[in-house]
Amino acid sequence: MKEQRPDHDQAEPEEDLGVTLMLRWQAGDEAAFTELVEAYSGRVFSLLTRFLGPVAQREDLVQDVFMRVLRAKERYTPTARFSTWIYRITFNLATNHRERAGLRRHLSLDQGVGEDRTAFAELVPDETTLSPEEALNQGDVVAAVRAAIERLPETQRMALILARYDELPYAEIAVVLDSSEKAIKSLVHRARENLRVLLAPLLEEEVA
Amino acid sequence: MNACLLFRSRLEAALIGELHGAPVLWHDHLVGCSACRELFEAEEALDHLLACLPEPELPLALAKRVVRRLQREQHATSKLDDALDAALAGNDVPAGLADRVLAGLAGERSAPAGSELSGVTLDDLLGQVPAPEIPSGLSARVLANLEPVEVAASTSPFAGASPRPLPFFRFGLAAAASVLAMFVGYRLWQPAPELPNGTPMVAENTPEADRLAPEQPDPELLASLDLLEEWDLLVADTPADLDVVLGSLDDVETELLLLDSYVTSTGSATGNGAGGDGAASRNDEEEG
Repeated sequence: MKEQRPDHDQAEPEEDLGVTLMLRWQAGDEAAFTELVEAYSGRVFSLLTRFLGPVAQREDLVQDVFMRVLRAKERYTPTARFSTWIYRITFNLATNHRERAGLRRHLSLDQGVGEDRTAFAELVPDETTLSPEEALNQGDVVAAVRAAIERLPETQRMALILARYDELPYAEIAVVLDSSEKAIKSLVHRARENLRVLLAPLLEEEVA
Repeated sequence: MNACLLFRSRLEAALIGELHGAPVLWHDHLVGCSACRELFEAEEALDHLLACLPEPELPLALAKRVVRRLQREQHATSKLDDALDAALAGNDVPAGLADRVLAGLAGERSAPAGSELSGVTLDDLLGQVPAPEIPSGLSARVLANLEPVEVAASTSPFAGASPRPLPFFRFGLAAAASVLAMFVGYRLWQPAPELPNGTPMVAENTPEADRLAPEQPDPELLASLDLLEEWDLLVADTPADLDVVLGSLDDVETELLLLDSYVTSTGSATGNGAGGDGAASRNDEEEG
């Protein structure tokens, strides 16, 4: 039985800076849109960088995100936090970008790790990017962690990034990923398990 | 075991910042549970590694560039929208075009000089429509296709009729002839009625026999029967011949009356005579 989604749309949107700016912009204050871009473009860019890696199209994607905001001007209603809404747009555009760029790998493996074979398939590194092991051999801890995050499945990766770096509560992550809070908890838990596998050598050193 | 489950659920909450200062509270459990201690240390180490990932560097003046590009795109989009609106609103249509079109179609040559439709009438326009090309030899092919139909018609009993008689008329004549033939055949071939017991057989060549002998068919009757073989009358060429055909209908009625009186007067004993054979043979011919 599918779990009912939590009522996280009642997140006091009237206190939200983004919501305030959107409402001002809807009321005819064109400067509010500029303020909106200044307030949120950096967060969108950071999210895209963590999710996609340092790809060249990030700035174009930021522009696409705000183009969606522009088009939604008339029909926008503040039912959720503005950051939740704009992160959802960002996630959709980023996954579309990955599909278009052919970055998504469809690997069929006979054996996986545990029950999450899809996750394991995406954990396998490809030839185009540095693997966590290679980064570790080069002594680049940051590159190893970044490579390990990039190996995670899209939903696990986004859930982990939003929970760990943007400190969004599970309820809001559930809105971004169009899922339930319980599913988000499971996603984050599996993401951390996968990272522990990928970064095992580093973790041993860290514990020692 | 319950303590371990409780610890792990709280650990997850602590990892996302929902429980602050939790490790202090868990100290007693971690001291006594090595599995949970290992898990805690691994999570702590992982969190440490994730924390070492630096904040992404933002491009300089990112927001300004984004705003500028959005404004450019919006401007281009609005120009395109304006062009579309203008086209849809019909602003590019020359003034008075509809009036000139109507004037031209009505044949009025009073349209303003220089307009494209001045002096153009409907007849002119229709005259410019090219005549359809007729395939060469079309009529010959049509006639050739019609020939088999004509040949088939000539083999019918009604061949040569032009114009051909009406179908119901031909059908009526054929039905009447068939009824007549069947009636005559039935009456002529009817078996002789049995004589009452004790009735002496009539000897031939006696006056009584002469009295009872069948009479020879009336020549007029035979002539009427021969009318049935005159198919040319049934397919008369002209309306004048139609009167002849209608006259033959009267002959048929006369023939029926004569036959009836003949049979009544002669009795069925004479059914096997020469006249009966002749009628039967004619009947066969008609049915054939």
